[in-house]
Amino acid sequence: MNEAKVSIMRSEPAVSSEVKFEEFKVPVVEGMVVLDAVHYIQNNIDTTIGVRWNCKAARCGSCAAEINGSPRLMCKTRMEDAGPEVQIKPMRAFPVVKDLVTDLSHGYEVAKKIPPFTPRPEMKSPYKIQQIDITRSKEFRLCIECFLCMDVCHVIREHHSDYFGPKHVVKIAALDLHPADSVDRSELLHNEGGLGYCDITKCCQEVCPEGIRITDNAIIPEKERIVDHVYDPIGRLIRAARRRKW
Amino acid sequence: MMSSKKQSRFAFPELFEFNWRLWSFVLLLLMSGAVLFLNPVSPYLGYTDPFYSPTVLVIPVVALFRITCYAYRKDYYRHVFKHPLACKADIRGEKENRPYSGERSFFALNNFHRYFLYVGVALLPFFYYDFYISLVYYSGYFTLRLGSIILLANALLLTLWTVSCHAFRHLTGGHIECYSCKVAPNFRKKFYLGQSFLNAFHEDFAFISLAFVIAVDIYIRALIVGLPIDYTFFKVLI
Amino acid sequence: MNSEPDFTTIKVDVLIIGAGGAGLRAAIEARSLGASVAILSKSLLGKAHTVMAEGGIAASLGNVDNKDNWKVHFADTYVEGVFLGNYRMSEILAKEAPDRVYELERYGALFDRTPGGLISQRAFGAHTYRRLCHVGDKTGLELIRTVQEKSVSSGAKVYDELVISKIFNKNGRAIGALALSMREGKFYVFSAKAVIVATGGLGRIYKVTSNSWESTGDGHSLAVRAGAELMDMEMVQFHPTGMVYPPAVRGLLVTEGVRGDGGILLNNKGERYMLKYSPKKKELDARDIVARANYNEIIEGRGSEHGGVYLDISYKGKKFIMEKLPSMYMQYKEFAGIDITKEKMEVAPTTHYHMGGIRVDPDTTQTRVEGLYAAGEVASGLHGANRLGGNSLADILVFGRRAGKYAAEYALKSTYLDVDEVEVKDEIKRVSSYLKSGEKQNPYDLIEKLRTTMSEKVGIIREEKHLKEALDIIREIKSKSGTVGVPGGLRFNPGLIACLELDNMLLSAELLVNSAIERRESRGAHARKDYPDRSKEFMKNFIYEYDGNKISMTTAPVPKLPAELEELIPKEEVIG
Repeated sequence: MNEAKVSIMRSEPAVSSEVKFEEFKVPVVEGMVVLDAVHYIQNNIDTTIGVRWNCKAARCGSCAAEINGSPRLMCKTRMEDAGPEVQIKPMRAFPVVKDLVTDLSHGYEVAKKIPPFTPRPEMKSPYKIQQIDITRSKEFRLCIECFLCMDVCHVIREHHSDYFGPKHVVKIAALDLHPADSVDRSELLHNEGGLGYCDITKCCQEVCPEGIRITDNAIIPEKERIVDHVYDPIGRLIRAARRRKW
Repeated sequence: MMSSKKQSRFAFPELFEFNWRLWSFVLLLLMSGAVLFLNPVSPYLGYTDPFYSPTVLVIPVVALFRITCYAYRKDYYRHVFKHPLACKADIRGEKENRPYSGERSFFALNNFHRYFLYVGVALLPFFYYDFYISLVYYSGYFTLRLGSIILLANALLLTLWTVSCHAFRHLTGGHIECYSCKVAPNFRKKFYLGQSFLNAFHEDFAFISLAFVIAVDIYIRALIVGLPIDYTFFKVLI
Repeated sequence: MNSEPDFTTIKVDVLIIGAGGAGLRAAIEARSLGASVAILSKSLLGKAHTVMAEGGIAASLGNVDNKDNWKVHFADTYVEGVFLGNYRMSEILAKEAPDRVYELERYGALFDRTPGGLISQRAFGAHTYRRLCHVGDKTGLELIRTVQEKSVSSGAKVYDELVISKIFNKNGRAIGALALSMREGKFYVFSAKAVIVATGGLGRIYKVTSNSWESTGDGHSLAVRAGAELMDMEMVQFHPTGMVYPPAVRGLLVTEGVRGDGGILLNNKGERYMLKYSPKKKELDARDIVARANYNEIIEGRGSEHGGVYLDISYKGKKFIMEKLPSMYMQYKEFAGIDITKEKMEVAPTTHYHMGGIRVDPDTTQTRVEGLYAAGEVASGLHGANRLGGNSLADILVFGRRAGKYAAEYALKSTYLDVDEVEVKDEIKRVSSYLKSGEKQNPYDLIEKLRTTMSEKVGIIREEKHLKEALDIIREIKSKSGTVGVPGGLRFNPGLIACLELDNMLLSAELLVNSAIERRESRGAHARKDYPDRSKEFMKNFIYEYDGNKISMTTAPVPKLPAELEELIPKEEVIG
């Protein structure tokens, strides 16, 4: 049986400022993922390791962590790919609660600022919506809210700005592109959401476990909507003229 | 969370950092600019250098089209300003104490990308026109030469890059929330999907097309100094 | 621990335990009636097991097959529950599901569409018509995001990462609960006028399961200890298709949508054996029948390399699969390295759903305890002896709403009863007592033993001998459970949670096995090798109640179907 060395970052800031790496030896079986290794340690060696997990099937997005420096889902990272030595850290963009568990409550607070789905008044239930109108929004509805994109975003991680962050832009894009929705959230994103901080370096897109093209399909289109409103005087004039129906 | 709202909108801290990559790039840009302006190339046997199509004066506008392109933006924010250099924790090159304003101050100018796009789109036919001219350069003949194929490839790459542009995609189909409410919904959606497919390769097109334009310029300059690197496939009477 | 247990009290009209589909839907309803609402969640908001639901929501919209209506849906549900279900609940489900789906659409859910722009519906096991409203193969994710967003924007307060250890009962009324906040390591007392239990199932008491970590039967224990009754505990649904290989993902669900969209089951000889077991409905027969067929093929030596059978959808082509079943493609690609557009999948039955649970009033979802309601998988009665695919999502919407409505109505006309401080402190002491230094029993070892026992001895085909062995082992584990303990503190200590869960899992497991022994017949998901036939004598439910000391069992006959509903049952079905 193979054996792997798994090193886990341990800390509990509310109790002490000490941060240490503890190393454990874990037997590796075929198809094992990093989360299995953490479970092995938790069940057999140290029951106090704080870790979040739910479905172990890459559906719920609970077990995000930094594995060998890369933000990933523990349940979706195979031990054989992670190598014989695996280092696991919590998501460093967020305050640590304990060990691998971080405090994501700020993200949920931001989510509350986003205006909910507001159907156009002329929509009569049951809605008539065509399949071609839903595919764009559907891409963003794959979001499992794992916060990996938020973790890797330097605007949030290193600069602590008031940028809403990629996850919330994805949410906003999902709502804005809903064919029955009547609200345009791009101006909120421009002002309160701080989308201008995003410099489209696409790290969020690289780490998304659902393969959502966050930057190309959510952030940049929202930036273009902001351009429509804010940076495109000629376009605005043309649209205003069109609305007048001369 | 700390609020940075109070940061001046017109501070550009990133630009003040010493960065050999940025300044060597600026130097290179100035040198090549000097070459283009001080040593212009006139058409050679029907081959128009892409830098002079239709005139060398559009170069600044095209340069701005490139500079404000999302693909190049990503590249210089990453590799010039290291915001961040890479995504992995150990090689990010990003630090908490570095000032950062993103595209809220100086670089907010990048939002005018679509105006440069309009110029870019207007210029595209000229490259195909140059290709056509190279075919019928010898009066009374239709000539296919290696140079013509290079010009066509150049035009196609520039087209791919322009068509896959995020701003272009937004203007043609991306702003539409309800396709079925428009005329020819299926066509418009398919066009959007086609653009989105190309958009996935936008960064590749951006750099390949740039390299290609420079290569074509060097190719034509090489022909002018007399290097025998052209080849005529056929020449027929019309 | 410190000498005096410390806690914070929060007052709220309606307390909802569980933030899955049922809990969140209940919250929306209770808020709309003006009650203040607190939702307690064991994991982060939006991570509940509902996200794992793939196939769709069963509702007789008749968009694809226009002959469909609530009567057919009712008959399908009641017949596949093998007449053990509560007819009134099936009736309510069939009648109200379409409204709940349209309502979900008004909340912003984006279902797949028909060419005419209506909600598209797909075929599913044992549904007469194409009935499942779906969002690709991620219907549950869309459902929970929609109700999550709606409930938060409607003003419900969410407290996540809390473990509930007790529901307080005073004078026969549910008046609140004690919660441990994992994130803060602090205790909270929620004082409420009405309590809704929506904690989901108990699949984690099995080793091979499709359920996520929360499904440890917490709600069952909480409710029965607070005075409610449990019913039909023996009825565990095994999903015919769970992943088999590699071992680390054994049990992970392969959606029924694969078969709904044309997937066929093959044994190692390449035979499509469902033609033999169910010539008419083939792969799309009820889950119990397909699961037993798969089990049988494996037991009789016609299984695949790793002890499963083959499920093949590759003949449908890459485009079709990527559009209809993208997450199945991802799942096999990532976890097994298999490309399902080219290769066959290996599947075997996996523990999936618990039809039994808290006994509730069919209309109001109230339990025997005043002010205590239950909805979703944790409640019983709707599905009888077997659940139809897609009915669980319909269930959480229909009965989640009803729980929210009746709980809020009750709460708005009643007053707070203060939770007894002594009782709170005793409970806090009980929870804290698991934190020990020195010699102690590791809870995970016992949990592991319990789960293995359940999968080996209380599986898809049951037998008295094995069931009794299982009961002995459970009692042995129970006798050891007094000594379990873990090091560490209250903040995010998984070992401590495991101790609390072990208690709940043991209670559910014991009742489950006991009922399984008592039910000396084969009915629906409950299949006995020693009693292979259905018996009219067992047209009754096994009911458990707790008197403060021990749990005792009674039986009650299944409510008799009224004549106007009996008419709807197909002639060839013999009730009994």
